[in-house]
Amino acid sequence: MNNQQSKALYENFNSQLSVIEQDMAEIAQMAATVSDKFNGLGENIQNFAAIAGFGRKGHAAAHIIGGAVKILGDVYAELKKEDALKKLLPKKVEIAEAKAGIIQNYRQLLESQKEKYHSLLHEQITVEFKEENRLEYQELYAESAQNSYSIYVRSLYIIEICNYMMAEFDAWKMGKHESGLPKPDKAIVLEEVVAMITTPESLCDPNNTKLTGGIYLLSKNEPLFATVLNKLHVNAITTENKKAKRVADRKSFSEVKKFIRQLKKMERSKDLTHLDWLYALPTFHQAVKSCKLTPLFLYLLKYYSILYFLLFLFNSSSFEQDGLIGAISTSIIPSLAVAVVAVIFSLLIFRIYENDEAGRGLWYYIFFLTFTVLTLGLMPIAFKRYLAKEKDYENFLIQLKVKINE
Amino acid sequence: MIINKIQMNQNQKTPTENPDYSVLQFGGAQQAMQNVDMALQRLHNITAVGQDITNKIAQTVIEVKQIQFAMQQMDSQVEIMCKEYDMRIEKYKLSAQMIQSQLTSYSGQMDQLLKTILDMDPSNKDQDYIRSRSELISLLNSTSANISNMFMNFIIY
Repeated sequence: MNNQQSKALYENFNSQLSVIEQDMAEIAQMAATVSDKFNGLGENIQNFAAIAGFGRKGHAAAHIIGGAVKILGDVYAELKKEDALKKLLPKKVEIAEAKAGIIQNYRQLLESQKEKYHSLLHEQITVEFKEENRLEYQELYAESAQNSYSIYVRSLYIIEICNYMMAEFDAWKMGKHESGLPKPDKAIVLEEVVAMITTPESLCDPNNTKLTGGIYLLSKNEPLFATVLNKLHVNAITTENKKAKRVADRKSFSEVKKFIRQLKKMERSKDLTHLDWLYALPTFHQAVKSCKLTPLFLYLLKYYSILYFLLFLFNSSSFEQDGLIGAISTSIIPSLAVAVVAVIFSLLIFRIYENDEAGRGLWYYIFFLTFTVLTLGLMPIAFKRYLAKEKDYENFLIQLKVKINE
Repeated sequence: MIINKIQMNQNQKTPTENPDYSVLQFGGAQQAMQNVDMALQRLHNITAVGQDITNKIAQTVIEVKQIQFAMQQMDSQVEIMCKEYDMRIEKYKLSAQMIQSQLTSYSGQMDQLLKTILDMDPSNKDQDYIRSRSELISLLNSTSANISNMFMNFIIY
């Protein structure tokens, strides 16, 4: 079986495992339909009194009956759903009994071999080679390193799957429909591999230029590099006191940005070529692009300064007296001052735009229009572009998770 | 409408006719016509209300039927699911023994391979030695992939 087929099989795992979950969802959907129909009937009864011209008492009676039909309908649909799920539960227990033995055996087998796979991978990761021996390494060791990595990740991920399945089976046997455990995540396994290879700090340390089998694996397997970035993000999130509204103000973002910036700096240095394979990864380029986000204040200040500087420059009277340099020097300070004031007001408008949809009164619209005119239309464009950049970064984080579980 | 027609007829009378007589004669007719008109209006209203009530009753009957249908559909869907589950269980029971025997034989092979690889000297720089070790690791990987795929197929399908 080739890699593509096995990849498809693992990707299928989460979707196929949920066949039973899909059945549960289908039952819930059917119960909801029954409940909706009862609600429709209740509405009909309530409307009936108005049409038939019943008196006040009749009207009230029809209203009560209609309401009762609705409530009884909900209760009945819930009972029907529980009844259907109860019918399926013994079948699920039978499935568990048919599968549990094999799953337990295979898990035991993998657990018993885990240490040996770890040793094998560790041995491959610690192979060191010099810059001039890159080709020789690729020819003699690279395949072994890649195979050892595949065996280790596959085995540990299947242990995760087995643990999850056994927890589900136990839940079914205890009369529950699900264990409530999260689905198996490859990130846990890959984090172990990354920890064997390096840490983010030593990876972007310019004094640590050792070429190893681990660096080769990290540079050739996108999920591993995605795990490094994801781990940086997740670790920072757990230590963040309060989640800032703006992405650029979050610690989780600045940690990833700091790391990527350091790698980029090393990429520019001609002496540091040990991470050349890594710089070729599409995830690295995507990270560089997404981490260009700056705080909103600086973002607006940059564009407003340029705008007002050009305006002051072209309207400067010192152009004819002092020449271009004189005009530039006299335009810098006023343009910066105006830009700072404009940024402060723009931030205020942006805050109202984002937070207070209901409270946007006439003043807000007057301010918005005024500053749109004063910034020659730059303010709304800047807002839109900045929000798009933030969205880009959020998408990048989602893509990292997809990459990890590829 | 009828009153309007009477009024139109009145307007068409010649001036030689006695006005008092015409007032007396047509005043009674007008009243009668108004009564008929009102009665017709009431009848129309009652018919409309009746029609609304009939519609509502018909709609209620349809909704009750729909509820019955939705419940029957749910019951039959659950029946189908149960039958599908029975088939799956039989399939799992049949394949379990075969998978178990395969697992045992593969695991023996893997243990042996792993032992051979780990017993070899990783610091040996002889290219042929490194290549043969690499081939063994590759064999171990493909055996591991086969056994895992078989296992995943069993878990999933």
